[in-house]
Amino acid sequence: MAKELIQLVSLSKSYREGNSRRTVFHSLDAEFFAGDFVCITGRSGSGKSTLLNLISGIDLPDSGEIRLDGQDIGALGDGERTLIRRRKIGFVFQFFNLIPTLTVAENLRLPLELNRESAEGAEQKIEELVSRVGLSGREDSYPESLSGGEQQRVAIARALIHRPRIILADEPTGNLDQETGRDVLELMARMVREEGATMLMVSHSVEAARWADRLLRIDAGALSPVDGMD
Amino acid sequence: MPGLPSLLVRASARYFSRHPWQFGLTLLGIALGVAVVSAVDLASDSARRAFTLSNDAVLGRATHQIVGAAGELPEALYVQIRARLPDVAAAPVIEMPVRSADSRRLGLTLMGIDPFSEGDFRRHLRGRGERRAQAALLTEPMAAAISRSTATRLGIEPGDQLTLVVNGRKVVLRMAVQISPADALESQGLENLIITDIATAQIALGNAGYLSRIDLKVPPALEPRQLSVLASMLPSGARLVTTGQRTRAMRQMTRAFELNLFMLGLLALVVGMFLIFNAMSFSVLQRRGLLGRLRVIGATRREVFALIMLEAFVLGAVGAVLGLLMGIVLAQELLVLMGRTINDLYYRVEVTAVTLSLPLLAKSLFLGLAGALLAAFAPALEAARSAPGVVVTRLSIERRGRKFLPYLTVAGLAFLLSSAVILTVSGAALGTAYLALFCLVIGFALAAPGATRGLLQLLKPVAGAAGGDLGIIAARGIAAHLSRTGTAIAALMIAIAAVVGVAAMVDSFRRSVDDWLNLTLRADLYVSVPGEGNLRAMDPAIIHRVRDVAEVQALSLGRRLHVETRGDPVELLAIEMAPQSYAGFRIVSGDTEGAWRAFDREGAVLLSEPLAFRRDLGVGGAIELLTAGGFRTFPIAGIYRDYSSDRGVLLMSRETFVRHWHDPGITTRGVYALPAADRATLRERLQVAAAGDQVLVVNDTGEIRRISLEIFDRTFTITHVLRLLAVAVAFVGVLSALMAIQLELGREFAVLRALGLTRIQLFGIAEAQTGVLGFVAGLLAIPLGFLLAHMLVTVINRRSFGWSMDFHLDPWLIGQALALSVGAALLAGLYPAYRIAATPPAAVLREE
Repeated sequence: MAKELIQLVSLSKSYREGNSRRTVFHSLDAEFFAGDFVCITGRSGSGKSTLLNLISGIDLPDSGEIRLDGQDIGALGDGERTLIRRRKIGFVFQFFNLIPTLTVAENLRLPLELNRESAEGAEQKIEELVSRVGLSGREDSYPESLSGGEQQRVAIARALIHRPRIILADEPTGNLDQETGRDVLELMARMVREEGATMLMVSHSVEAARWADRLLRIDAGALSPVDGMD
Repeated sequence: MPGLPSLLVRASARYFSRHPWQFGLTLLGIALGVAVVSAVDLASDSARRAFTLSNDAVLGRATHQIVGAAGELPEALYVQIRARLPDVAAAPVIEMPVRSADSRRLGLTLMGIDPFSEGDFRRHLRGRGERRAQAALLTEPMAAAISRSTATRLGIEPGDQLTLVVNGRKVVLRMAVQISPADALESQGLENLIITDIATAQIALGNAGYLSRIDLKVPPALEPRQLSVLASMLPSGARLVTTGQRTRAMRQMTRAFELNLFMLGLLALVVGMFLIFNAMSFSVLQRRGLLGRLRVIGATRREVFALIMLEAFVLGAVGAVLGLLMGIVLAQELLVLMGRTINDLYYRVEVTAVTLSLPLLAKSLFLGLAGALLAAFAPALEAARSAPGVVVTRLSIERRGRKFLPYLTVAGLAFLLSSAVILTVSGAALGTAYLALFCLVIGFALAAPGATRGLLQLLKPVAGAAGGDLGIIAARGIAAHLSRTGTAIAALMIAIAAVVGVAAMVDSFRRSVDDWLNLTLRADLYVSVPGEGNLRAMDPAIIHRVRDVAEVQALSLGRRLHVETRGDPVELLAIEMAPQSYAGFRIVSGDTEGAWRAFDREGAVLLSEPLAFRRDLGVGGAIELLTAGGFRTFPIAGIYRDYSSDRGVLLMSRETFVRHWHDPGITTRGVYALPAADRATLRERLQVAAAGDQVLVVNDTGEIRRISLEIFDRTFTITHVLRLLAVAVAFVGVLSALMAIQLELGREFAVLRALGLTRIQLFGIAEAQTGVLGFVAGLLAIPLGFLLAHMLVTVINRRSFGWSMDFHLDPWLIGQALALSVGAALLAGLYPAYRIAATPPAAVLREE
């Protein structure tokens, strides 16, 4: 059996809403393994994005532990959490979130630069990934000149270029039409599996669930497997 | 910046290239601030250099000087020195301010020298034609040596005649020698200098047998012995001084004037810093999503902070360089105004070109850069603190800002309190007074957003009543975007307050001077020797003729001259009062009756406020003056208000003066007419009585008052220019803030358009918003302007010059300030409002 890459131990998280607090998670336990492709569904406001934010260290739990490779990231400072995110995690967002003032190639080079990777290897990696996402020849284009599907392909390439062990995808097809969404999902699933990374994808889409090894639902602060998938 | 990924830098550079308006306005803000500071600095420095050069030209390599008690020395002393101290190089000098007799009345300096003694001191005549030039000055009647550029300015060529007005007399010289300076520096030193032989200068001055001073070069090794011999040779009243003392005294005259100008320039830079803060915080707000994404991808807080600071550094550097270039051009204009004031009030200096000084340029660059970095610090910190993510909403920033508002207000109040504390404990120091002034400005700026919120609450019903829902939208828009509008309001408030403060100060000053002129100029007519030196006395025969004019009821006689003290020389006015003259002096310290009694009967003196302030003297104290019989101590009986000189004047009864200086000369006289006398007839008769070899001028009180106020207004022209520049910087600030708001609120305006608002209505909302913004800034500027004015009048002026004045705030000024504030804001809002109205809503909604 594969080793746990991500462990959530007795995780609690709540937010202040006016004068009251809304609990998103209460004593949540979960494990995700290396190479896992997990799709997480749930109603709006159920805490899907919060879960990804907690795992990536963007947000901190009220209590409990989030262990990446056995290390509790909740106990780390912002700088160390940033470095973990920089090295081990790749993000794909619903609204692509490419840097509008950088070209396609530069958007891909940014994670490498942040990781202080040498420029020589970078060009080759960029060329290869651009080709794999089907955007050869568009390296010098700015995001605004690309279609939604193309932008999401760039985002996928950016998430994978520094070979992170974890990919977090938040509604990656939420802003795309059905056909483009299907293409993007297929591409993302194929590439993540080729890279051997662990994928946690939050999605409402039934189509998305088809590509996952496991389908989990968040409901009332608890994660539970969806019948027929696990 | 080392360690900062180059792609982050590139992304940031492209952000600014995609927002050229924002980039340009930020640069313009920094550039204008730096331009004003560097222009004031460069102009002051150029004036100082010009003074040093002309001072060097007349002092040469002298180490010491012998000066007389009333600016005169017997020629025989020079002969004795040459005979008794052959090792000491000595040169006789006559130096006198004169004017050209043509309609331009150019200010010149007449310098009489002994060409054969000059070699040890000055080499103005050196070169191939040195001997011929010396011979020409010595042998040709009324020959003068003039530099080429001065001759060009006077419109003469070698061989031409030059008519001068010297001590009220017309004197004709002939340009016998054209001096060819070795370089540009020497040329500048020789500007407006007319060199003649001693004998020619004595004829021109009508002062045979006398010198202005004797320049000496004492070898250091022989100094103690020779100085003691020299001291023993001095006639009564004469004094041996080092040349450094003279230069220092001259330089100190303009120090306060220059400091005041520099501080006005600094005010423009502070306003410029608000612009930078505004621009940087807006760029952070606008990129909150992008910065959040970078943080998600793995950019650390330190990298984000460094990125924003790097942007500020680049903006600061480019802005400062642009500002320097603008400053050099502006300095040329300021130099004209500054030179005029220095010539009007202090000393004769011809300053025509801005001299570029590397340290000054570096200082301005540093100020621009430091200002940009300081202003960007808070936005950079805000950017670095922002949580990684992409959902940081504008609302959340405004909410956080609102939470922060009370702290900001408390910090503002703390600054105001420190301002009061600094003022209370700082004694008479001018630097700390400026520190208190800046604390006051910063305090108001920090409290401005909180005050704006409060004011807008009060204004909301008015806005609703005036403009309905649209009016309420406009008013709410400002409160809802306080993080943007707050700094724009603060910048505009400071600039308008500077306008109010400086205008009220100038107005108070002008009224005080006007009141003082009305009080002082009690005689009906004044007869005086024209020219600036006024050391030569009037012809006694003329005085008798004037006294005999039938319409004359009484005369006041005055002798104005410089006398030596233990420190710097002091201007002394020895006066024989007419009975009406006493009311012309307002005693501000000391018992009026007692002071006059001591003045008339006990040989006491009165000091003008600036003199008492500068020398820290008061009633009951005493001052030592170099009389014809050596140093004597004179008790001080009173301090009186006087604006005639910021260096101060010492008033002494003429009887006391004649007793100690044995000098019965008169330089000015006030003529009191009989009540029934016709002023015009009296004037004509006085002109006839004053006619003769010596040209005297007869002025009536109104003329003197008009000329005095003209000089006053000329002095403050530069102040008006500087405060207008501060408003220009604030204008750019408002424009930049409004452009930012327009970008920020594009979607809200597009929704309003989609809901059915016409373009005109949208334009109206945007303009109403800027109008309200200007109105709020104007309202806040009134108390700040009032306090600034009060501080300038009662503290800064007092500590700069020693003057007291009556504070006056014209209610019209408040109205003007509000109109200026609203006008500037509306004007700055025109283009952003046009953009808002003209942008197709579909485009904005689609982009979002």
